Amino acid sequence: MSNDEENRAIIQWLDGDLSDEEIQKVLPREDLLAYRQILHEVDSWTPDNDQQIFDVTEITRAAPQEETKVRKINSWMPMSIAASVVVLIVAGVYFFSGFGTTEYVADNGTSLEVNLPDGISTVTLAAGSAIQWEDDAWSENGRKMTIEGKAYFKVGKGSPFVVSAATGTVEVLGTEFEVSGFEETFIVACYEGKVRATAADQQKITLAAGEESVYHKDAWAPKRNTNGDLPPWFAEKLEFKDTSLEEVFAKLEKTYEVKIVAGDVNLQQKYTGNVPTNNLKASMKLVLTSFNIKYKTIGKTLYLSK
Amino acid sequence: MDKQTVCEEKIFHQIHKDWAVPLRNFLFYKFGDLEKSRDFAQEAFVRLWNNCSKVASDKAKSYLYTVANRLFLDEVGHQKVQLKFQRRMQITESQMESNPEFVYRQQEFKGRLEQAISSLSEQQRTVFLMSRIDKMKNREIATALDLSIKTVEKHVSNSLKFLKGELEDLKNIKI
Repeated sequence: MSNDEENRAIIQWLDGDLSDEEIQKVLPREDLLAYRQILHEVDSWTPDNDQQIFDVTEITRAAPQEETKVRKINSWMPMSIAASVVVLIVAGVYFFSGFGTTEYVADNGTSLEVNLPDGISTVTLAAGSAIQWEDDAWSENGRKMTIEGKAYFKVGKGSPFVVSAATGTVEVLGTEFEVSGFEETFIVACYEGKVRATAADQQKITLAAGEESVYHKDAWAPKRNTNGDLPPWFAEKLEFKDTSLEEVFAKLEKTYEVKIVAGDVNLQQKYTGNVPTNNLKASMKLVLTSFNIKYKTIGKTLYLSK
Repeated sequence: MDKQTVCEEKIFHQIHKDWAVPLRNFLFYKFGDLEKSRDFAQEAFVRLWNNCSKVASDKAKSYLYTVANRLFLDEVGHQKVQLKFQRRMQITESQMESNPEFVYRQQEFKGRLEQAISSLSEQQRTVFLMSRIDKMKNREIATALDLSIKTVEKHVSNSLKFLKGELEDLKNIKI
């Protein structure tokens, strides 16, 4: 009995296409016993005996395309992305809504993460930016959408990925990225993968991870290093949920490298909310307003008072 | 669109009924966290529902596994795991009393097998357990994970041979 034949038999037996009697003719009895002992044990297992863990009505209660799809961004996990690119496009109003169109707008002062219809790609819109797509423009043949403003895309592998704006078109193919047909200033930054941008006049530029360039006045500016920094509007936020002011201030002190002197403020009061990590003033305002606390800054120390 | 989509609540409910637990299990095989596996699986179904008009019902399963896998990669990533399982049929007290040694050996065997399974590569382990615990056919696993049938067959049979090798020294324990 050759090894190949034995293998073939084991595979068929495992998939239920060969009976115990038949496999006995092929395998040494001892091996068969060992295999059966293992399979008998594994087959009796389950990760969890409770099989009633899901409530489907939780999902279907809401009509599709609503709620859960859009969520405020709190954290960022730049892992396992085929190509992630930032496209900053100076664009006029481009949108026209029609039947079967989906549109998301990030309000002023907040960025917005949107899961795209392919289930694996996401876009994060900078404050005041918007994205729109025709529902039937998402299929196995392509993924098409239109943006206005600034957007950060995490693109999962799949069919051609095309982003349009009034000023041009951006195309991601696998780990590639193309820009074409625009007139105004256009900034492309590549954070992972490789990107090729083509201007309206066919001038091309290839950007590797960590490089960015600006197309302005008929030419691509020399490549600059992104230093791996995500765009500033994309900064992470600190999340607090029923957190004592004592802990909130400790976090802020660490984030901004300042000292906070609490004075007669009650530090056991609880705060819930998200604050930025790149704007001390805004952070203090967000936290303190709800408790009616004032503060003044001397050097790198903040003095609080009721 | 001619193909049936999953927006029909009845169809969606059926897909959920058939695949919620296997999908949760699939994630559990990868990283061993039951709670998170459940959350990721649920999230995958939420995304399927939200995109129901774009997913034909015959593509729903591979959509779910793709999304679940992406969620797993983004949040957890590949890491070493130590999987623990429950038995569908718990050992009864009377078994325990009548034959404690047997129960002890059985537990030891289970522990060693869990260890050996945990040391398989992530993909081998996942495929092997989907085949055994969720009773999925090789063809089903292949479409769900976007692998060739040959790869799935290889993973299942190689896993079994590897496990046998790992447990060689327990060979004389009769259970």
